[in-house]
Amino acid sequence: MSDKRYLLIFPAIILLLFNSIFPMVVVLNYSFTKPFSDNPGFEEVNNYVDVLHSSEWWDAFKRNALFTGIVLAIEVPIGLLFALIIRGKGRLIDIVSTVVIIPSLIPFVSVGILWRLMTRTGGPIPLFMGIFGIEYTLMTPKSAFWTLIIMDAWHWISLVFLLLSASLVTIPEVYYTAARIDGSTKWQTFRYITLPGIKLPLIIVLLLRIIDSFKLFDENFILTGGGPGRSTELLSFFIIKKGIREWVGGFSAAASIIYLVIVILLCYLLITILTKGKGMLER
Amino acid sequence: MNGTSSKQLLGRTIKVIFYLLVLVVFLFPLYFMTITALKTRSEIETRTTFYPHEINIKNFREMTKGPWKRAIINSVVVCVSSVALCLPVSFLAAYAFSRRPFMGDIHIYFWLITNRMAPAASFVLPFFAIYTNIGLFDTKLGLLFAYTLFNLPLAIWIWMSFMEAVPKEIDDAAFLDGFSVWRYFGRVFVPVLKPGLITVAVFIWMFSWTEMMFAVNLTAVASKTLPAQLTVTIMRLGYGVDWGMAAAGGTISIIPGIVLVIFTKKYLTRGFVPLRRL
Repeated sequence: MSDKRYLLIFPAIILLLFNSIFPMVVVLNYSFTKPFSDNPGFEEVNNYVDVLHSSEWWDAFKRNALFTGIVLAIEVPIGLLFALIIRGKGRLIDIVSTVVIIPSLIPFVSVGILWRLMTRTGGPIPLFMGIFGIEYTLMTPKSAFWTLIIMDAWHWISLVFLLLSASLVTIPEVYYTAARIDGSTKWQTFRYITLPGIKLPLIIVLLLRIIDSFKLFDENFILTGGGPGRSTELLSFFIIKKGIREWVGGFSAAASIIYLVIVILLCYLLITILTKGKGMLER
Repeated sequence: MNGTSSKQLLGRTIKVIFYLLVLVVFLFPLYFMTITALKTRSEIETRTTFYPHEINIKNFREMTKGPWKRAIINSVVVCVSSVALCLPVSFLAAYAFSRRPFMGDIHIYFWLITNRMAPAASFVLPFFAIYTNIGLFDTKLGLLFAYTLFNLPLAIWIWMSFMEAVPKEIDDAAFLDGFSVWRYFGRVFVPVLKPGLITVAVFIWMFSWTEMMFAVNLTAVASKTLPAQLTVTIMRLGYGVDWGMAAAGGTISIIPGIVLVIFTKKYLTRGFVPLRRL
């Protein structure tokens, strides 16, 4: 029996060895050389030094961190609010909750197209803003950045809603009845019954949203293409641009290794803090 | 009495208004994309209208031939094979992690999950280099393999959350009755985990269906998926983007999502509930 256990995870390990370790070795190798050139050579840690000295990299990093912070601050409270309000039985509630979930199942590219259509010159959003006398265009850095944030919120509030409303159902109704009899206020009920009941799903939502907003590429690529200037260039976009378009493979490889390490460290830290050091498998 | 009922009425009215507002915010962009696909090109280019003044189904007819048809078929093939590959593989792995503790399992599990965290951008360059060397570039098989990178960890994660909710006593009872592992899976474990099965399948399908970064960078012509084809369409600078076509493709791309949500919502909303482990 004891050897069968390894057999069970064997297929998964093999697939991921081919798809994860092997590419990682290649990218590590690139990060110490000048790939795609006539004389790759050995560059020592020059590529890493270049990345850490590059203001473009740090700009993209800071922009991405800011983006993640704002997006979390918008999506998690609104998603939670939606989950608290849109529940119960009834046809209207059924329709509304289905509609709110839909965006999370739309391809990122299509979300990008959708918002390109909405924000085109003379499109619905500029028209709508025009009613309030605001001139809206994607062509200024500030409005492009905020449009990216709004688009991300439109796309991912759905996931927060889906996961949180799924877990709200599991809180036993008797708790609420007891609270009502004891005459606790709405805030107390939320603070001492609802919030503890959804703590774990909330942690998962936070993790998923942090990871994914740090990885964001597609919508960014489609909606603004990093522009105007470099004002909406996030980390993934930066790495792809360097590697595929500007063809500086060594630099791009080193940047992606640093990026990978940051994301994994961040997750490890969060998991440790949020599970109070119990780690991934509670044993 | 009268006071409370009018207060209730007010509360209900506010709620209904809120619902309608939510519906508008989430549905209007979808509506606008669909009608844009039904407009003539000149109508799209000249003014913003909120319904097509002249219905034009040429864009949708275009979807049934040439590169668009190929892209849609490619997408379906890659998604179906992703589900077929990842579902059993992740099931076995999750079963091992959930039921059969073994040496080093925590480390292997963390490594597996980090693949979900790892930014795909880090992998595009090496995948590109490897695939061009071993002839997987621009093949559906190549995309299928690349997608396991994020599909497998997520699938294992979701499977685990469902398996944790199944009492371990069931295993003991089955094995005491002399069931083999496979018979146990077929007769007991998988039937109990049906909501999990559906949720995992839906998530694998959706993440493969929506994936774009690998699809754009690891294909050229023959294996372009729908998201890749859409990207090409709206990145065509110089000619001016054919928005009608992009909108038609976009509309097609959201159909599976809507169908899946409607039919599997009751399973999806149970998805992560019993999750007690990260």
